[in-house]
Amino acid sequence: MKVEEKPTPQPEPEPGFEEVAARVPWGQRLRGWGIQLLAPAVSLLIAAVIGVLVILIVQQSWGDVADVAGAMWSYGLFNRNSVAFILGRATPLIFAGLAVAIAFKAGLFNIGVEGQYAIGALAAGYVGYQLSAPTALHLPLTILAGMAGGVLWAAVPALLKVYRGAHEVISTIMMNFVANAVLLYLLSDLMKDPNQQGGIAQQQTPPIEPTAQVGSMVPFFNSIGFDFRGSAPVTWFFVLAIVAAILYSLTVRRTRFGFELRVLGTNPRAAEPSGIRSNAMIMKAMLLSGAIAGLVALQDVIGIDDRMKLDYIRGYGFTGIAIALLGRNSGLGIVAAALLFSFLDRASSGIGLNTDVPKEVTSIMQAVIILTIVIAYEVVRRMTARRQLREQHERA
Amino acid sequence: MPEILVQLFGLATIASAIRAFVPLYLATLGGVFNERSGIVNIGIDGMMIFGTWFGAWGALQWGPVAGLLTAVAAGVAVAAIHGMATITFRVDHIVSGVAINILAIGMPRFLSIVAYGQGTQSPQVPSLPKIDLPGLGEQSIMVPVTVLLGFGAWFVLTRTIFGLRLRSAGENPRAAESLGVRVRGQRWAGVLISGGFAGLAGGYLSIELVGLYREGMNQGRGFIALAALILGNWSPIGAAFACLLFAWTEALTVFLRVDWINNAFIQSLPYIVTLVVLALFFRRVRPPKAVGQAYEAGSPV
Repeated sequence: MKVEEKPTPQPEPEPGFEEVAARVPWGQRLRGWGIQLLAPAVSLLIAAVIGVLVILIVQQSWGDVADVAGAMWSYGLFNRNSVAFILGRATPLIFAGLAVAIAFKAGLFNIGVEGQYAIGALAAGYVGYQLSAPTALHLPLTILAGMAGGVLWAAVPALLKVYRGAHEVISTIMMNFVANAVLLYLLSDLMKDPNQQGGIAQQQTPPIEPTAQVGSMVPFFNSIGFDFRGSAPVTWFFVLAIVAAILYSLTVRRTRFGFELRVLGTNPRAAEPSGIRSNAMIMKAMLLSGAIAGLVALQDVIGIDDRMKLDYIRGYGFTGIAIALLGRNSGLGIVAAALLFSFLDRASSGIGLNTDVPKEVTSIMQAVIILTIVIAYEVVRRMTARRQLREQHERA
Repeated sequence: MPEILVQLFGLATIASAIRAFVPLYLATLGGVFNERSGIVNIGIDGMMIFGTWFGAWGALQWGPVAGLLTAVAAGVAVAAIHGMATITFRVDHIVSGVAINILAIGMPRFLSIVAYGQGTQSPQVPSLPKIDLPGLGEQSIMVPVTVLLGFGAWFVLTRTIFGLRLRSAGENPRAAESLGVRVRGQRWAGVLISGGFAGLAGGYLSIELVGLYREGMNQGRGFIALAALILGNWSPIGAAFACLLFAWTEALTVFLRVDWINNAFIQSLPYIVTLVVLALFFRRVRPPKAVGQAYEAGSPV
């Protein structure tokens, strides 16, 4: 395909945007935000109720409900390492959520984040152990390799969509399965760790050079008054994830590229007449999504551990879809949703340690949140649309 | 006969393809119903997964036939969630389907722990007696049942009033409504039938094909069924040929061994073939006109 010109970096807002925003009175804006928060609140409430019902059905005692709530609260939030765990576990979820969201913004469903980050992690692992260079060069190259892996894997469904019209939902899922084959092949053949200790052969690469590793954030947190164990799984990738979320928000809201994405996503038929080349935008959105997806497992590979293992491909891509839905594709929302899901994971360990209830009860709650949130947002959207219509009538 | 031809077209390969055909075709038949009624169902895969779990569970409790019926009921129940989201609340069909697939990742594990004390597998479950098909060895009794269901689906869709109404809801809901067809009712029927087929497909997998429930046993068959739906041009007859192709590639993952191709890639043959099929045929087929569009009776939008 011919090379499109780069997304024009135009940081200035669309003309008139600020004035329009300024005209909305604050009271109305607050009410609007309140309505927006209503949907997640209702959804969380329903999830909690269903969680309680499930426990009652399985254990048939209110005592267990209290135990579970207690374990979620005390272990999930106040165990010595809990905050570090929540921030660390949220990191891949934020990247995954952003990757799904940027495609969503253009009206595309990237279900292939799972495969994209698998290939990204392989690429980063390879550059990490194969290359030797000073940190200033090696680390950026390793991270870029991760992103490039994601881009490569996203490029196939993007090209199939643009040139052959193939729906990206099916093609990205097929790419996930193919990625799985590539993963199995490379980790047990070409990229296999030749000097493994121990009985069972792990599917993993040789160790990554120290120059390609990202440090733990524990010393930093402990220097500002926390008391995490040295092994707590939080690295500087968390900061990178937050920066990515901010950049995402700015790009979507304040750049021409972001505006065009949203036009394509909300009204694809209006895109071409208003001078937006849909196919080029589909390519850009999908490749960008793949690039962000490539970052998902890097914390595991070059942060917490020092090599790529098969175990690190563990469903973040699908959770990312949930995170993007829950966070309404906004940067802030995605960070909040990732923290919530990460908390639920941590709380689930607490349930496993301190109660008789299977800890997977939190995965049911996550599923209920996902299902109710899409309905709740739709109901709220219609409520707001109806209110706007009524206000227009009153004004007229 | 050279070894490669035996691997490609030998009786063992064909018999295995027939076994793989059943769940794919059942799921695709379900997809035909929901798509022709105007609802996109990306959640077929999730509904199949629920079918595999509840099929095995029901078979353990009450025997294989009841197991298959339990699987159907589970598929219908999950489809009801999809119907409520897409028809009642008019949520985007793909969003709702994706949510159902995510539900199908976590929920069966919880159920397994509650029912079997471990998360990933059920005990061995009883299967139906096998029948001996000439030349194709021992096959599940579900093989002829599936063929009959295929003809049944074709007949219902193309030769009955119900089928005509269902298709009209997916082609031009406004015109259908003006002629007295209850579009939402037809779409509900399409989605619930689809869930039933997907559940049955899952039940076949766990009860008949494998003999137990195992996590991840569905291996994305629901998505391959969606591709078969496209390749089969949304018709039960076309879908049969498409599913035969995909089932054959699935059989090849077991029987085909080539020195210079790593086995991991042979394992992913069905997915690669699906990608190729999508690339070659997506533009040449004609989906139902109003598929994926929300419909609100009497609304101007």
